Amino acid sequence: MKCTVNWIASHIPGFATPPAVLADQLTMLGLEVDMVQALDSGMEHVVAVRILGMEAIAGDAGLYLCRVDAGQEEISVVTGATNIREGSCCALALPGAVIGDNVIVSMGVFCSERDLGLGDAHDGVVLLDEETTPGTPVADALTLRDHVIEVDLTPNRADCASVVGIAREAAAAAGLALKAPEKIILPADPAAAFSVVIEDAVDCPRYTARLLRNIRIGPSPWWLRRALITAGVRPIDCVVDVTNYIMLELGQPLHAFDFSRIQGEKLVVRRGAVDEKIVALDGVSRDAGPEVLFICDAVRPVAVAGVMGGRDSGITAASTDILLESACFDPVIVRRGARQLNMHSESSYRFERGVDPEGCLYALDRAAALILQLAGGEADGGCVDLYPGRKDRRVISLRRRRVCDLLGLKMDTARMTGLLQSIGIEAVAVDSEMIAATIPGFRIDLEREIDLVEEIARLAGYNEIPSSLPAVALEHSCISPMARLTKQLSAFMVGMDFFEAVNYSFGWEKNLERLGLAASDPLCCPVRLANPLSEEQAVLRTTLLPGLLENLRRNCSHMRADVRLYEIGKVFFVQALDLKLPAEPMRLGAVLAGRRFPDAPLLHAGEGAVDILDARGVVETLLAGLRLEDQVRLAPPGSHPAPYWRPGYVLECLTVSGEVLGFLGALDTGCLKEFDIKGDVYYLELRLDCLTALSPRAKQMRPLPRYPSMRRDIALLLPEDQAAGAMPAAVEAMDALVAHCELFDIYRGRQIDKGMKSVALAVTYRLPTSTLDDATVDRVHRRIIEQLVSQFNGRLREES
Amino acid sequence: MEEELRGLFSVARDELAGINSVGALELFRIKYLGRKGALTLILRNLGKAAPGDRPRLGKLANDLRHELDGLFNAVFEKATSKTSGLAAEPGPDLSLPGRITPLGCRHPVSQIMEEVSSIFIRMGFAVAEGPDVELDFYNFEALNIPAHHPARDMHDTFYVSEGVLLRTHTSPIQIRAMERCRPPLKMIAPGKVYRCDSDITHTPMFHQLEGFLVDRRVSFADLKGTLAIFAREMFGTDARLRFRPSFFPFTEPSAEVDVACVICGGTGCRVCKRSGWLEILGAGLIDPAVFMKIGIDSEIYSGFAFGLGIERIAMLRYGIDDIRTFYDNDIRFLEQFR
Repeated sequence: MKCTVNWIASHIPGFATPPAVLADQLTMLGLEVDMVQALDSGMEHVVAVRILGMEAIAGDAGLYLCRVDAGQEEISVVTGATNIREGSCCALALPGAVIGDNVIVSMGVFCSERDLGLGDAHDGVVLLDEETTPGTPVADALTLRDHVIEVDLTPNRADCASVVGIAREAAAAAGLALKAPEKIILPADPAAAFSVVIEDAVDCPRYTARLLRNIRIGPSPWWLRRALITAGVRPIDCVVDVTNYIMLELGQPLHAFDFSRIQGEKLVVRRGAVDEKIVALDGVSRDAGPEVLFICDAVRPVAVAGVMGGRDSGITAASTDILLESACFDPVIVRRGARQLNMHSESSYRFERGVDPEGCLYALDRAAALILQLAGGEADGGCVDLYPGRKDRRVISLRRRRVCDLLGLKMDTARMTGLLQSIGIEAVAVDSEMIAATIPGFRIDLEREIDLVEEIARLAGYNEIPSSLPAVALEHSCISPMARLTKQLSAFMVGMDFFEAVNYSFGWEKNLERLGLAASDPLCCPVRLANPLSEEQAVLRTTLLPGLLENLRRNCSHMRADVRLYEIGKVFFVQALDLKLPAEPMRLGAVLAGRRFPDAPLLHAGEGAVDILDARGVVETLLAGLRLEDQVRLAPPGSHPAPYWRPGYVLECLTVSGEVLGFLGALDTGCLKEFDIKGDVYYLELRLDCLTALSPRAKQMRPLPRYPSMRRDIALLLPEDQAAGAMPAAVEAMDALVAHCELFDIYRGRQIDKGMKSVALAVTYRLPTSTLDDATVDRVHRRIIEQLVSQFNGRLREES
Repeated sequence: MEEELRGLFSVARDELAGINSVGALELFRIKYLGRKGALTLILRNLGKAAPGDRPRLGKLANDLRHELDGLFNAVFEKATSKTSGLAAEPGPDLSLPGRITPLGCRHPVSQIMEEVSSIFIRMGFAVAEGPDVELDFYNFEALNIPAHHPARDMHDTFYVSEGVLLRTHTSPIQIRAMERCRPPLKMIAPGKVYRCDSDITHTPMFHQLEGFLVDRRVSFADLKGTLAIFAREMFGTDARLRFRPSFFPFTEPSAEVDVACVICGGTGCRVCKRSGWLEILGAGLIDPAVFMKIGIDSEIYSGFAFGLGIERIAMLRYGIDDIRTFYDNDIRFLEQFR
């Protein structure tokens, strides 16, 4: 809602609040002011001038040289404007004036409305009253010593979609009384020349209309156009302008029909029939139906109630008899109509929020009187006022105690009634504890006691309410296992030089195809959005992989190919039909590419690239950090792994109970190519719900060893295809004397036969109860070597 | 005799330290450690000491001789080694970077989420969760936003199917929590929310944190006090808050809460659009209609709720001007928040 401060002030006798203060007061009353702007800003060097003479410039078709009286001096101005003649008064921008972004340097330029920042009109220069004294600053000539104020209205404040509504609040803030616009009484002869039928009182609680005859439609005077222009409404002609003016002033939308185009002298307010069409003012034909409320004449719809008039019933420059409508429609039906037909107007904006049925006739008669004043003609005796939805004014009981308890302040009923009365609520203290408040029709948002509690808080000022802390009993609140887990995992990942990525929960279905997934794959059955912003964001993700690959590609394109990114988030799966909502399990995904330690000094870390054991290391670190290392086994996948894994470069993470916790490995080159990524990329994805189900190894102190240990190393030659990873565990299981075994080297090359590798193990022997002797260790060690050789298909290389 | 021994040792040690040629070293060896050296002589004279002292003095003399021997050998080795001669060996280059284990970092949105959450957790709020794909009932109906209410215009909703949508705010978690547990309740609900809107200040997904407290006699004053603590913790001890009336269908009275601009301190700048205030959250007392929907008696219980946009705070805190930057996951951006 936009209007000038003077328009507001005209309804408050004695109002002298400066615009900036008014803006602040309104904001603090909940009418957030977006903008306050002086209308005369930038008009310092624009003055009124009278054209003394015009002559066409030879050779330049359409250009004229004008001699103008600028008050102090006579100036020559070149113009192409066609709406001027000798004697016209116009606005002339003198050197130094700023028009748009340009500083005027020529002798002078005539200004259009757009040049003056008054609107969009740019098809002619602004014409001033011909009585204007030349040299008068144009800001005075156009009465622009004023400010425009724009309020961002919340949906509940329908009453403030009007100048009077805002003035009511401004008056309350200033401690002054509102003076509503005069009530005009026009004759109301019951024998109208037309009739109105309302089919449903809920759809249309009130309909008033008046016939004005012998109207001469022409342009509006400046005061009216100025009011509309500053409110952001385009002036059209004096009839339409008056309907808009009254709508802005009182918040009551009005509509003018050309009576000669209303067939059967009859209006019917009814729902649309199936397939019924209307051609609206904008010339577009739209299908309506029973969800839309129409105003119809005897044969066809002539307007969408509360939204927009029809093209074939609206007034034109030639109209002489007009039927003026001022009605009240149900907010829901107007909103549905506007939505369905995709037509939104100043009128529908107000009806959707609620219009005061009590104000219909008042607005109708004010508008009619103003039209007669500007366009001549006379009111046909008849006035229709159908009010089937009439209701008594609501009376709300308000408990003083309740207000004080909810707001946490002390206040007596006298103050409360005073505050409520300041905005037109008839509040009376019944006793020291109870107030009876009669709600005026324009405050359709006030229905319950709590609504009045808010009004009191708002009018007293939120900043007047004290500050306290809730007295709530101490209680233990637990953190969910999932929240705890994600926090732990994040800390571990960050500790391993990963950056956290956050991607959209939705993605491109085609990415699943690019991963090589078959249409039958569960990942390929995503939850689909009915109204996505784009095809690329049309389905909810079933895997974190495409998002992370997109991040990787993006980083590579910025020359950042060393990437360690992780994401923890939900994926979404359609559930059985009886469950409306999808499953939303949590996943951890991570990609590794490029250098192993991107952020470590090259000097120490070198250029070494990540490989699959880095990916395995990440999973192992996470499991160890969670104390779950002995509950999860990493092994080649039991069944066929997803197609985006490079064959032979993938491990499955299995829990002791055989559940698949996740996978890690290298991504298939072909799949990476689909995503425009070159080079090796390693990926891991874990199911977090599966992790929370496991119980971490208990923390239990074991006595520290008291006796020394002995170390013996073993070097075994194994065939290349013999996996060595299980050797330490095997050794540890072979004898109680073995305290620990570690694989510390794998060597290939000189002195080693081709096809073989030398695997070196360090075995630590210890007894908890006594010191070991060499002979015992040697005996056990020999036996262990023998067992290893047979178990791992090896050959002893040397012993140290 | 003991004094004599110790004195001799310290003289010899000082002398050794001053030696700068191999020849001098040989002379030193003869003087102190040789068969007729000073220490050897003292040892020979051990017999003159009191019989009771002899073992102790003998051990001392032996120890000192041994130590001097060690010192001599070290110097001798250094002096005779090819590379260094007697000049001091250069130390390590301490200007080189350390052998660090690099750390990554959380996403800036997660960092702010964590920070905001922890403030409320320290005040005793529990953490609640809810689904991202939500029923219309929880997202709108139960929050007093019926179909065809203009307040729905404030939420550009992504729909999955009839009655199923992506939550447009974290407020449905409030309803789910109140359905599950009876008051007293004090909870926060962080999460992703979705609106079909995308430009420099809007992404179709962003993060919110909802908080609510329900008990007997909870007042608007309590809301102000609670949020004042939050503002102090988040924006500094001198953070000033301003409460403005506003409208949310699920709270009444409703408020927008502004903090004095963290950039200009309230004098007006580009970030606060010269108003001196930054809007950071919406709040209010829970509307009785919401309580009624879930069967809590609003005559007995009252409560407050608030919700804030995490990206908004992160943008203010870190000087980020395009919200879309958060979702590019560009490491050049992420690494700035380490």
